Amino acid sequence: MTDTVRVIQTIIKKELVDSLRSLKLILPSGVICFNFCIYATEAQIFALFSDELLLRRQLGSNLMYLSAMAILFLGAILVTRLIYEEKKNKTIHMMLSMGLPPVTLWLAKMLTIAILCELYSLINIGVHLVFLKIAYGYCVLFTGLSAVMTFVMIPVLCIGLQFLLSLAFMFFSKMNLIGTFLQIVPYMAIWNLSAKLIQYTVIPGLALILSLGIGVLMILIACVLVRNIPKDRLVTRID
Amino acid sequence: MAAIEIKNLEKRYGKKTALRQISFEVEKGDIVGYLGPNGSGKTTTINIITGLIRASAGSVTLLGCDVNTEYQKLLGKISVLFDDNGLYERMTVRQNLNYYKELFGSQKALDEEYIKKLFDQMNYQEVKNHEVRQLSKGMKRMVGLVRALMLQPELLILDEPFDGIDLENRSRYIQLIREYHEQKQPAIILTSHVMDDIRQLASRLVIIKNGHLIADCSMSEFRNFAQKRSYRILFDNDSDTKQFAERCSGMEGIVNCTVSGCAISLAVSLDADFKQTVENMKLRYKDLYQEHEDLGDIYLDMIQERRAQ
Repeated sequence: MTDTVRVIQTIIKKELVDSLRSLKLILPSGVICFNFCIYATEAQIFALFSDELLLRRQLGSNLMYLSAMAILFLGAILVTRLIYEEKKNKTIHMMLSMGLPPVTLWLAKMLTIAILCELYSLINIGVHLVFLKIAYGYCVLFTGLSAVMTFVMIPVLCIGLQFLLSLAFMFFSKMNLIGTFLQIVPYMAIWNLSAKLIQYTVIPGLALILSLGIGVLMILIACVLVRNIPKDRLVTRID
Repeated sequence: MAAIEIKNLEKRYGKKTALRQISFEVEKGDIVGYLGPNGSGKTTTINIITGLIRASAGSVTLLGCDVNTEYQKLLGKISVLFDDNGLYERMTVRQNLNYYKELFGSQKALDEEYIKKLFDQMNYQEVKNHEVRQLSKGMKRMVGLVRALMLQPELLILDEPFDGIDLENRSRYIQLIREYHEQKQPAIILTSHVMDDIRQLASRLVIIKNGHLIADCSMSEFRNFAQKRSYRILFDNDSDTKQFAERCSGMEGIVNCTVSGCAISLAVSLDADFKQTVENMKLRYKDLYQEHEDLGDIYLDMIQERRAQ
């Protein structure tokens, strides 16, 4: 167990440094781009709400979409880089042949992705909160539900989705089409949800437990499935 | 307990059988050359030994661990070098080596003195901050080899380690492997399709052809597989040389005859008593001696013989 933890820590450390170095241009560009996207929708929201309190609440619930965009965008890039490229460059051959269990390697990489995605989501939200305050003088208001959804439910579900998506990258040798499709679907679903969230009266605690449960379940399912992928599949030739 | 124990290994891809009933062992301290022409099943065997693919039948045990069920127990005990080196191209040499050391070397006490010496031999200080993708093929292979040796494994698997490498670098790599073997006495298996790569290192040979094991013997035993002997005869002048060459042509037992100045090289079949034949010719010559049979030729003869069968 100690060995597994140490191995996972080593891989996470390496992947964090490597990812931050190689994505140093994409990450800030993404922050600007996503903030602009949210800003573009907010221009319409300002016109819809005359009540400032309601407006500030709607701005708060909008941030869950920002969180989803950031995580799904970065998650897709990182899953490709950390898993698909490890297979493509055949470094996975070396790792597995030297005694590293596939599930340990995969879990370490996915935890790196989870850490980076969560941080990136928080940075995006932070930047947007500062932008709204400076540009419009608005302090965004979170309801219990929108806070749970922005900071827990959406990250957990989107990261859980990345865990499931990574299975396809582990299993198949060509993933471009399936990967793109799997990434687009949640964008549409979450946008729809964030726009209507203000009408819902779900108890925040229930949403919290539910989202954590679903997220953990997604991760566990992915773990079990990765454990059962034969090594032959992992070392399939990728051109 | 053998370091590698392979029993009745078979691998089938659909109707095609890549390996048939392969069995051999590699003891601790052995360097075994796993030799065979392209497509003979070497890489398939290595992939099975390293747990990357499953055999259709048979078993493989490494250091007492079954490769299918206990492979993770080998963490830190086994080092592998495949033809693509297993290095991260965007990372520097230092980052690559540190990563592997932390990952596979920190559960045991590594001999730091040996690592320092190893690094000196690859000019570590000069290349440590270079990204791997900037290095030449030879240098990448050197870093790959240093990575494998640095972890001081009990079992070292080298798949075509000298493929596409020039002679100068090849002798450096051979020296590194030899030094490591002398110091730590690991079991080493190295594959190649060229005898020359193997003969400088291996104490034993396992030869495979079309998925069949056709030889498992020591280097000295391998010489007995020779189907001909080579002789060289030196003459005082061209006319004697020419006269001898003419009389040799078509003579029973002479497989090949090459004239070069006042010297003739001959390949003679094993059953021919060549020296007696020459004495009977009553020709004057300066010297006659038997040359060491080239192992590469023996290997090629063996492969071709099996092909004919």
